[in-house]
Amino acid sequence: MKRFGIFAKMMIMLMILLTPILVLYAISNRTSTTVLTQEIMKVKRNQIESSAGQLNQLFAQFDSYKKMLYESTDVRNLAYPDLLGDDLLQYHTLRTVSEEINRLAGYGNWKAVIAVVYPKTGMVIRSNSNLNALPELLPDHDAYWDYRRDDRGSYFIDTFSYPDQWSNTEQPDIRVVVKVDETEIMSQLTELKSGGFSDPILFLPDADPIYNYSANRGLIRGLRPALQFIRNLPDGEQTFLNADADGNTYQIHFQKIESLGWYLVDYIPISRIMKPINRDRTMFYSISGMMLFMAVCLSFLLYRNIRIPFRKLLQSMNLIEKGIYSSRMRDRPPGEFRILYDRFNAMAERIEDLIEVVLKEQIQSKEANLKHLQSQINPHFLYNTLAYIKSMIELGEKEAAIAMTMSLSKYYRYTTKSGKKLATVREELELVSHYLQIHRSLTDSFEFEFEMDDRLLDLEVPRLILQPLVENVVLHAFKNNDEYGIVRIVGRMDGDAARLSVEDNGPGMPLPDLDALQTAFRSVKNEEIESGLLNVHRRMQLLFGDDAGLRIMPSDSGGVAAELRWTVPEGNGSLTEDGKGELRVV
Amino acid sequence: MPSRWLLSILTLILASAIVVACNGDNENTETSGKETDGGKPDDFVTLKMIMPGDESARMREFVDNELNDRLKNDLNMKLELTYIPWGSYQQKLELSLSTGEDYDLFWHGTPFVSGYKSKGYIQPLDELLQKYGQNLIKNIPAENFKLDQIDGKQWAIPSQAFTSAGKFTSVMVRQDLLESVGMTEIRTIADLEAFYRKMHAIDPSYYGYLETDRGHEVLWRELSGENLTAFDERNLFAVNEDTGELVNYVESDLYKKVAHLREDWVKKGIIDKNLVGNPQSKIDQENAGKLLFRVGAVSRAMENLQTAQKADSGAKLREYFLAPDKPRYIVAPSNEAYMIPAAAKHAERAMMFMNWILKSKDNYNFIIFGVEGKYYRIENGKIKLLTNDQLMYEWMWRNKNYFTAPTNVPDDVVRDMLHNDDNAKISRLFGFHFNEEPVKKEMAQVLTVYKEKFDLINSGLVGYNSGFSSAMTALKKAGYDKVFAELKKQFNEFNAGRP
Repeated sequence: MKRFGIFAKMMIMLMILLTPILVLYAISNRTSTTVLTQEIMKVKRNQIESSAGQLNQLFAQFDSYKKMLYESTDVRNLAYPDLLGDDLLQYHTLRTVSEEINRLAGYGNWKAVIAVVYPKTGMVIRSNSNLNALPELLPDHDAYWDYRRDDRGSYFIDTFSYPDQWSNTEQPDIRVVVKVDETEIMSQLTELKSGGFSDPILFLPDADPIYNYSANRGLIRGLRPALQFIRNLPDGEQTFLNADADGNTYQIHFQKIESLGWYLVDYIPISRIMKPINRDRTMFYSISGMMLFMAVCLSFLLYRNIRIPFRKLLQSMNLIEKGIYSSRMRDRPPGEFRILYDRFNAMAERIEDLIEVVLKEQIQSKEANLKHLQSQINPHFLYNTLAYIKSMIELGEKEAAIAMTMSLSKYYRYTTKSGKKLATVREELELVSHYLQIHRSLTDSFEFEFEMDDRLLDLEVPRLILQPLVENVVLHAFKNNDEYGIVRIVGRMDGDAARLSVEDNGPGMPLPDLDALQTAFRSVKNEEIESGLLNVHRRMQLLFGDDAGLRIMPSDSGGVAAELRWTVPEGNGSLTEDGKGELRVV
Repeated sequence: MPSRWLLSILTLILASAIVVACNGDNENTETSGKETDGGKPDDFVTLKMIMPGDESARMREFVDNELNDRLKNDLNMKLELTYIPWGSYQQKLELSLSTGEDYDLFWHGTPFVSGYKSKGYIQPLDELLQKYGQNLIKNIPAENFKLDQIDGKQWAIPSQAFTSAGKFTSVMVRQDLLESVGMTEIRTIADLEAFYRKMHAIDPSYYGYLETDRGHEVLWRELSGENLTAFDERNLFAVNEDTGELVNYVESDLYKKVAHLREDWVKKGIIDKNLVGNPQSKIDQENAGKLLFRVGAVSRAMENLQTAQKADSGAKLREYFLAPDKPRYIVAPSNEAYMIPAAAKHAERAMMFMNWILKSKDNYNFIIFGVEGKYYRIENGKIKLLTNDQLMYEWMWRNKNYFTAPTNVPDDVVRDMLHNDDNAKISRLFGFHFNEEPVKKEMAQVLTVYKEKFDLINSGLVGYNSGFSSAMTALKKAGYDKVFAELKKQFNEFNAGRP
């Protein structure tokens, strides 16, 4: 839960959103399916009931025509032509009956053969139609819509005879016949079909059904076994049954046509009607499923793309916090996190840099100061000085002894005043002049002079920065020199660049040695500080930055010039006590 | 990277699923519009058509299956045929037309065009014919179209384009029976009577003469010294082809001769008085193969052969003109007229349908005979019918360009038919239409009286001497003279107007 926080939350939210939608849809789908099925059934029911009613009505109507003709005096009179006597009267009666029959047969859209047959005279008067002739043999008893077949086809026949009892030897006088061909019923079923029925047939168990012309006979044959059950059903109680054929479910509706005894049957391919609805339902569910799946994928992507980089970042932060500054983000992901990772890496690098530099500087600063202090306690120097003072006293040169003592005391006071780390150039020059004075008194082999820009005097520099340079000259420049040495200390300001050089007129240094020295200066950061000059260079750099430092070069007077150079900080301000801070600007 | 691919794929799936879901129900969307390049219209229509006769199960099955499949494919329509039995055809047809039922096409005889036009039942077809009827124009002679032109407009399509001279002036006989009594041909009325007498002596169940439509002109050829052409099927008036005069036929001596002959035939039994008032029975007699002769119609020997052979497989039919040397006249090269009712909903499609029939021999045979191999076969260039009914009577659309003789019809009958118009003359009635409107009332009365009084004389049940004068009085009272005067007036105007 904690690990998959966002992921799990998103999933729960999705579920909460989707579940009611799915539930509602399922309910509404079920409701509409039920309503639709019921509506379809109701419509079909009405349709089949009214059509069966109409058919029944129609056959009843034909039956009433039959009775009308049976009762007609003209029809009766024609049975006994001898009684009429007159040709003209017979012609008129015949024409009247013929016209009457044609009129009756002409009503409505149904084509029935209506005929009056006089078996004794062989006369037949019938409605005109070429195809629907009378059967060759009339039924041997009166029929009420009997279904019969002869070689010209099947038909329904309704007859009425006078007298109604007869034998083979004595034929009836009159037979009124109404005949409806099966083909006419087929036509009418086809009409029904174009009027909204799906595939109507007329059905009687154990008989061949009467199809419409475009009936799907194969399918109806498949449905017939189910239809046979109609026989067992009590009338009117059940109005439809279900059957399967061709892989579909069919709802078969039926209604008995009372006058014929046959059933008007129509079926609805209920599973096919419902197919679009079911398809929509399946589609809805599959799209919902797909959306759910996509949502899972999306949240997984989110998890991969945000949650994981974020966690990695946190881990690295923890490492930094614990002091492992070398920790970096690897496998940078694309997008926003790449920037974040880059920034983090940059930050970590800076932190590492800063922390290392500060540490090193502290160490180096301590080391440099230690070296310096060591250098000050030079027993040889002290011994020489004390020896000089003793001899001066012995020689009675009281003044010289005092001067030497004063210089020495000032020198040592200054050098041992270790509390302060910075001093002004003026103070440094004063110290150097004491130092040079002491040495000149000891050897009397050189002169020294100052050439100083006044602006330089109040600038602050590390304490005892100049003394090592001067000491170097005193110790090395005039050792083997026959000439009288000159030490010049020159200070110049060039803009904010300050220069302070100590020059001599000694024999100088060979160039390779100079180069080696410069190289040593350049790599001073990483080296142990071995010589006093390197120490000076390093201290200048520590205080004024890497541009500052010491340079050794040939002097104008043929000797060596050691030049301190640094950039004067803005405002010429005094440096802080510990010698670092805002001055250490990269 | 893979995650980005995954995302795009999923998005694509979802998008397509939504698109599919939205389009799911649009499959049935119909485009409506006019016509595509192939001449097949975009909108599907049901063309409602009235046909005379009876529909057999075979015809219905053919229409519901093969024909309508083909029509849907070719014209994007289906045909719904309403058959009205011949006996009540005119009455029911006119009832439908006058009540404005939305039928799109129907057939009737050419003489009815003028009346239907003046009653406003039908619409002019010139524009439709030009636009959709090029095959009709190509296959029907221009002269035939003139038959159905009134006031400079085309009112019907003269669907038949075949021989027609002397139509209804010939007699069709059972040639096989004629030969069985030792006769070879019919040339006189005496031949007919002899044929009946000999046949009746052998088998009294044979019925002599059937008159379902006009039957007077057959006899005129022998009984009249002049060349007369009946004005129409109502046997009231005629034109003298030699003088161009209109003849008041009912009051003429010729009528008297005809009436006496009929009276004689009743006595001889050639006309069975028991069947005169029972029209369907007469047809039943013919269908039962018991008829010896009836009025011919140039090609009736071919048309009725199938029915005759159904009852008697040895049956042969042949048509003869009495007084064969007298000229034959062409009154109407096509007596068949297809009209589009004024109330038609799909007049354009009706014209396209007719055009389709005459588009090719294939279509022509298909609509008339049905599917080759199933309903007919072609044997030695002749057509062998495997059914005994035709969806559309072959004679309605009979066309010289497409005609194929049936296998069962003897070659001499076919030859008679094809050469019927050789040396024929154009009747003076050609192209004349009687506008009955001015004498509408009188005409109706005349026809009623005629039916009541003259039918009996025509059929020979009532003697001319005993019945004629009272019948004629009644006819005159009904306005016969006025009708005749109007007819003469219009006919004179017609003659004056022609070049």
